[in-house]
Amino acid sequence: MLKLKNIDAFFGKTQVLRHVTLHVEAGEIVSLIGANGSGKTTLLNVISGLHPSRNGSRVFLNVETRGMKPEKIVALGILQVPEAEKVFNPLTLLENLELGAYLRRPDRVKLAEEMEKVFQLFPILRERKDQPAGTLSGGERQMLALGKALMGQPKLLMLDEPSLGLAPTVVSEIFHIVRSLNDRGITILLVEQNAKEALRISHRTYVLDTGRIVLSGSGQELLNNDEVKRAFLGKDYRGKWER
Amino acid sequence: MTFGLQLFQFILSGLTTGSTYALIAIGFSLIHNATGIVNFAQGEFVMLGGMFMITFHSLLKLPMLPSFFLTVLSVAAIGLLLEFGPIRRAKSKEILILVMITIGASISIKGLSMILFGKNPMTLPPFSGETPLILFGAAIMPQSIWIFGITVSIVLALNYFLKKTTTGKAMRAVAASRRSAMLTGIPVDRMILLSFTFSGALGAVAGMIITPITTTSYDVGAILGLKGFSAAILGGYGSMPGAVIGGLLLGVFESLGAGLISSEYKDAVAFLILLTILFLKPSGIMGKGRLRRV
Ligand SMILES: Nc1ncnc2c1ncn2[C@@H]1O[C@H](COP(=O)(O)OP(=O)(O)OP(=O)(O)O)[C@@H](O)[C@H]1O
Ligand SMILES: [Mg+2]
Repeated sequence: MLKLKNIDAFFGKTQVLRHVTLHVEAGEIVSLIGANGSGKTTLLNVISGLHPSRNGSRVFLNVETRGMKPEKIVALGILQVPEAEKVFNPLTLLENLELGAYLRRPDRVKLAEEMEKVFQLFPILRERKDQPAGTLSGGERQMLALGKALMGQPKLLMLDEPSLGLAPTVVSEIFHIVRSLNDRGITILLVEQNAKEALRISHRTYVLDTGRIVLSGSGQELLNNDEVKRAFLGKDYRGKWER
Repeated sequence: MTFGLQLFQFILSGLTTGSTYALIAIGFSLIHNATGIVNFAQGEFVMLGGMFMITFHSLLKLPMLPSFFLTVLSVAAIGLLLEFGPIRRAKSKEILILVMITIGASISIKGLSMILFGKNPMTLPPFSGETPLILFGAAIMPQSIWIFGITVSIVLALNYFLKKTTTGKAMRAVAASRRSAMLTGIPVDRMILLSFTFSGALGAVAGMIITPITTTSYDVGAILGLKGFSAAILGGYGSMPGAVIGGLLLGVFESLGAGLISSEYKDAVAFLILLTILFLKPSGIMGKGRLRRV
């Protein structure tokens, strides 16, 4: 479904992604784990067209997406729920959901039906539908962000650390939802620091270390792999070695 | 005339000019919200509004209404071109660079206008006669009523647009978070283009309605822009209700300053208010305590 080949990305002169090659197949949950600053968010932004990539290719459903504007990429069916600024804070929940369907512009009846589906998935949102999104709690905001992305009818849903800053009960709820979305046929690319959970729910996992894919495999394989720990604690280990 | 009546008269005339400032301030806010920049050419849009109306109506003898709409379209087109040309094509998207571009545009527009329209001050006939109406003993010029009426209609229409239409909501979304808007599939470039176009149109209207009262010339853009900018800061930069409140308040302060102290200080009032607000509460009356991220 999504094939990245030899992606390089830079911030100014600093290279933050090095020859990243990965693929996501339809129906999978693929997770991407790695330490702080390893380039996970940048990789998602490259896929979404927010950050330019150099070299390599980014093919989604047989379409090369390099150089496409973000809205074109959304139109192809790739939706990202980012780590920060997930929702439009001053806008109400309903407005957020409506804009989620911006590119498709469904008519009123259709829009109401689709929102109803989101409310069935996240009943808590219905109670607050006329509140500004900025008044929501962290968990509710994550749900609204998911709902807003679903309004865009994603084929590939990319989640950037959806569990960040949430209470443990909410975290397991979010992971549960991610799984149920996948059961409904949505392919998922999940970025997580919460590696255990991520490995548990995903079919395959890639490990990113300072901009490089250093490992990949099924969740089980990686859970049993010593390298995983090293890759995660990469910074600390390196720190010790260099001392 | 009693002092109370005099005061009432000053306030009325302040609200009149204040309405124009409000329109200019809204123009500043629209562009700021979409892009994070201050558009220094906003005042030139206002000057062009007056000049084009004079050209269409007084020189080419077109009727009032077609002239009005032609002027709105023309200045809106100039706003659009400013974005579509230099702003969009700028190699660097740094805020400072983009602001510099608007300054350059402002200087160019002013220079071209001097060549095209000459250096003499010009004016427009009021939209409907000059017989003042009497309200509670105070005299109101019909033009003031026009100014009010048009401003109120525009504010209501814009509010409807921003709150009720999908495109309007998308514009607010871009203001809330550009990144998130992009990830939602909102064509941010088009929203920015729209904000420049609207700002041009708003400037045009402001210029047309105020010219019969104040006269115009190729170089009024800077001072009108400054007034609108001060109004926007006073109300809370980027806030629509703030722009309206800031505009009206500034108009009234100015009118009171001119009437009670001396008309020589009229323009100084705007600077004074600008500085006071920047010192005391930079986020303005309706501001949320933060100047938006860039
Ligand atoms: N705006 C920026 N300007 C310059 N460098 C940046 C910028 N954003 C990120 N970087 C750098 O790029 C590298 C990758 O950052 P990125 O945000 O993609 O990492 P991440 O894996 O998502 O980290 P985290 O787990 O903290 O979210 C980091 O070294 C970071 O310092
Ligand atoms: Mg990140």
